[in-house]
This record gives sequence, C-alpha cells and structure tokens, in this order.
Amino acid sequence: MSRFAPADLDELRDAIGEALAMDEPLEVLAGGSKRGLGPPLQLPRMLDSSRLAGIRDYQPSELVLTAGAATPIEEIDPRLPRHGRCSLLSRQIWGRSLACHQLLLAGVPWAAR
Amino acid sequence: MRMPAPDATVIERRADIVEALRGIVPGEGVIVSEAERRVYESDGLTAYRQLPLVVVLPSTVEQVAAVLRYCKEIGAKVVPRGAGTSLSGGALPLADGVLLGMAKFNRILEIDYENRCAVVQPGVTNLAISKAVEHAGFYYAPDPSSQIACTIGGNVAENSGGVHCLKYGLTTNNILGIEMVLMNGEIIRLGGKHLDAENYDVLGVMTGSEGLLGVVTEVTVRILPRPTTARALLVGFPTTEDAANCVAAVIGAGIIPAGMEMMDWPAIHAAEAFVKVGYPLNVEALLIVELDGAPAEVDHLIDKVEAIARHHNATTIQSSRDETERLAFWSGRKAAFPAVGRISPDYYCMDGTIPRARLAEVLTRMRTMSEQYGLAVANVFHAGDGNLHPLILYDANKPGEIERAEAFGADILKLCVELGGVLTGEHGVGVEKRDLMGTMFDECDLAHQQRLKCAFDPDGLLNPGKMFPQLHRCAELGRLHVHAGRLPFPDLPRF
Repeated sequence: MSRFAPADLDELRDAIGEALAMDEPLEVLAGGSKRGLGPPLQLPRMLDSSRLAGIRDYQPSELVLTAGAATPIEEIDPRLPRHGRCSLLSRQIWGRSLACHQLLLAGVPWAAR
Repeated sequence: MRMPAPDATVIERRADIVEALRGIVPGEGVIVSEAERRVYESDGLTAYRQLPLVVVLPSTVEQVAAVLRYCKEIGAKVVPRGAGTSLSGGALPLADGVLLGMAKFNRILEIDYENRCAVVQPGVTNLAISKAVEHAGFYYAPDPSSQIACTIGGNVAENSGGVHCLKYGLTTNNILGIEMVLMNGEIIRLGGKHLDAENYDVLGVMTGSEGLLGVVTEVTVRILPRPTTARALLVGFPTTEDAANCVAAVIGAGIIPAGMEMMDWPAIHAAEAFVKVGYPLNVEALLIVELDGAPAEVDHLIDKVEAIARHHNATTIQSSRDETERLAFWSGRKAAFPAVGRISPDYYCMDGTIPRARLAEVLTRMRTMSEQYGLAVANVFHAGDGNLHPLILYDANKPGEIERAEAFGADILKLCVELGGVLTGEHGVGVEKRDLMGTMFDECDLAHQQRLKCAFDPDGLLNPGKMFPQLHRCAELGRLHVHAGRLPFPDLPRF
C-alpha cells in the first residue's frame, strides 16, 4: 500500500490527482478513530491527512477560527475562553479528542444546536 | 439584463399549455389575461419586469407535482414564486415560462409545542408563524424586514435572515424539515420534527437554492421560547468609523447581542423625520444594540456594551427602560427603508456582507464612490453580521441614473468581495447579482455548483437565468472520463 501524507493543499491535490490518473481507489484516513469499525479496507492507496493540522487564523471579532482539517479540538478549545468563547464541540471517542474533519464528516451534533 | 432567449416553440403552444394547466388546476387557478398576469410581472426588484407566459396557482401538492411533470414533458420553463418580495429578482418571470405561484398554500398545519416546531405550508407569511404561537410565549426567530408579507417558502429559497439572525441564525438554522417537489414531479421529504436531518444535508442544499432545485410544499420550522427580557441601547457616535469599531469590539468581547443595527447620518435623519422617536441628530452614526435573556444577564450585558461604546467615543447612550421605549428605538430602524423612500424618488437596496473588522474601511470607500458616481447613499444595515444594505438614491426619470446606480451597486459588491466578504447576505443572487458571481467564484467553483443543479434539474427548466452567469447544458459540465475505451453514458449527445 502506498501512503500519502500531504502537508498542504497542493500536495493534497497531487495525491488525489495521481490516484485518479491511475484509476486506483484511495482510503482517506484522518485520526483513525473509527478504523476499527467494520471490515478493514484493503486499498492500494491511503491518504493520511494528519499533517493538515494547526490553527491558521483566529479573529474573535469575526467569530471565526480557521484550522487545518486534522486539528484536534483539544488544541482549539484552550484558545477560546480568553475571548468569552467556547467551541461547544469538545468530544472524545475512546479517550481521544476528535479532529475538525471528523466532526464535519460525521455531522457530530452538539447540545446548543 | 440578459435572460435566456425565449423558446418560440413554447410560446406558440401557449393555448395548449393553458388548456393542459386548466386540466390540472381547475377553476380560477390558471391566470391568462394580460391585465391579471401584470400583477406578477416583477418582484421586489421592480427595475426588471417581464410578463409570464401564464400563471398557475395550485392548491395541492399533487397539482404542483402534475404541473412540474407536465412542464418537464413539454420542455417549458417554470419560475416558482412565494409572495414576490425578493429584492434580487429571484421570482422574475420569463416570457416562455410558467409562473408557479404558491400563494394558496397558506395554512398552518400543526403546532407542536412539545417538539418546539410548527408544520406550515410555504405560502404562510413569516410573521404569521410568530403570531400563531405568541400566546404560548413562542416565536419564529428569523425576522426579515418584509416579514409581514414574505412567505416561509420564499424564506427557505433565499435563506432569509433579519435583525435577530446574529444570535438566532438564518432560516437554515431554524428549519427542521421540508416537503418538496422536483422538476420531474417526484415528491420527497427531507428531515422532519427531529434535529439532524439524515444522510447528506440536502435540506441544507435546498435552503438558499433560490428556486433552482425544487419547489417547497411544506416546511417544519423550529419555534423558540420568547426571551424573558429584552432591552435595547441607542448609541450615537461622532464618526461611522467609531461605530464600526465598536461593533467589532462588542463581538470580540464575547457578547452576541440579539441584534446590532447601524444607521448613518442620512438614514438617521430620514428615519427621525418619518417616525419622530427622538433619534439624536448630532451624530454621524447610530447603533441599536439589543440584549436579551434573563434579566440579570441582560442588565450585566447592557453595562458591558455601554462601557465598550464609551471607549469608542460614543457621545450619546440611551438604554430602554421599558418595552415601549425598546420598541420606539426600533421603530425608526424598521421604518428606515420607507423613510429613505420619502427623501429620494427611487432607491436601490444593495446587499453584501463583509468581515466586521472591515466595516469602517468599506463605509469610507463607499463615501468616495458616492462622490465619484454623483449619487447619495444611505446606510441602514445589520452591523453585527457585517451585512450591508446601502441604499443608493437616484431618480429613474433622469436619463442614465438607474444605470449609474446599478454600476455603483456593483462596485460596492465587488468591494465587499475584495475585502474578504461575499456578494449577498440575505437577499440572494437572483438576476441582480448573477453577473457578478465571477468576481467571487472561478469557473471551477461555478461548474461544481451547476453540477449540483443538474442533479436536481438536468434540463435546466426550473428558474433558469438566475444565479448562474452562464447557462450550460448539464452534459457540458462533466469531464469525460473514458476508462478502458468505455464511454460513459454513450446515449448522450456530445458537444
């Protein structure tokens, strides 16, 4: 299996483009917290998104924080209280904090929605 | 404004189409005479007018489905319409299009307090929902200025907001489910009385789709308990920059007011002359900040916002002492549009959104543009959301003024995009901003959006000419992937 761990958007596009060109399916792996669910995928390529992480921009007056998809929520939460904010998204699965893209892809709900 | 070229073969078949529609919607539900069709020739964007081919007013879901199925079969375009209050021309008719009016779907079907929702037909007005539940202490949160007339179906189509969406969200945050009819006549339901619609968020896709994907025939809305206390602050500033900076500072301090609205000098004077509620006339900008919640929380937040305002050079601060005073503060804001209508023969209401921190910069540059175009502008807007509504004042009877007003408006919207904002906050793209979509999206973005449209309406018959600057046949949009010599969809004609 070939494993690709792009560090930015260009590398991500190249990794997907290459898989498309080769007509090979791609397993997309984030934090791997649900990889144990269901039968294992056995695909020739894996896209590991873990390097697409980190807070890029935080503007409290815009109510906006921009972070890489693999940024764990536990990295975001501590930044917020100093501006009277909380993300309401703090969740753990099996003791591990979820990353942003896991929340997005699973449509993880929160109580205040 | 260039619209899709009318299909002469459809226009020639008008008599047959009318007869077929009368078979589906008997009685008064098919409007044919020119005088009666004239009522539908425009929506809230009255600069653009077009008589529809025919108007049909179904009263059942089955009739809607049959009308759409028939139109698809004969290749006739369909323009859905709620109350016709769109400010972006979303319901502008087509010469070769059937105008599908949803006014007869005007019943509240169910109010379910236990599940905090109401099931309503799309032609129910926004305000009627709040009125229907107010005796029990509930309300429907999104409150566009047109709420007395606009319908919930149109609100779904445009993802409408309003003064209180800063804290309580837009339509998309306040609906739980819909029933809708696709162009092929299929009736589908998305979501329901529960939170979190299942599978892909098609409900989210539908909200704000501007009548291009399907026709909504039922909406399940959330209803919220009315806050126990609401108080408003009326704050005057010596400059618009001070007011704009105050807005960003309030949000940055962790406070989310129920509403935070701003008016500039021309708007303040027009509103005060109209409603006479005692707005200060010696300030350049006025903020109305409403805080709601439990009494102790509201009092605490009022104090905090007052302190922030003083820090940003506020020269007058009044806080409402009772409900009468709170409503008086708002009355000028709510009457601001008609008030501006009294000082100018015509005005053009724009709608763009910017990051709050750029408010001061945008207002300054707008003043420069106003001088360049020789047209005055009054600003009344949802400052807390960064949602601008510049009102460009012009006289349609003076040659060239409407064109100048449109060019001025387009420049304002381009400025919004340049500063990291978007073309529309709540009025939609429609025909008004259609040709500006290229300033915000590249061809790849637009092609992806049109592919989504194609999944719902592959023949492009539902509300064409809106939202997308260029019409493409759906087969044009897909990149052809030929694998092992196998051509996908070999029956499709290639271009």
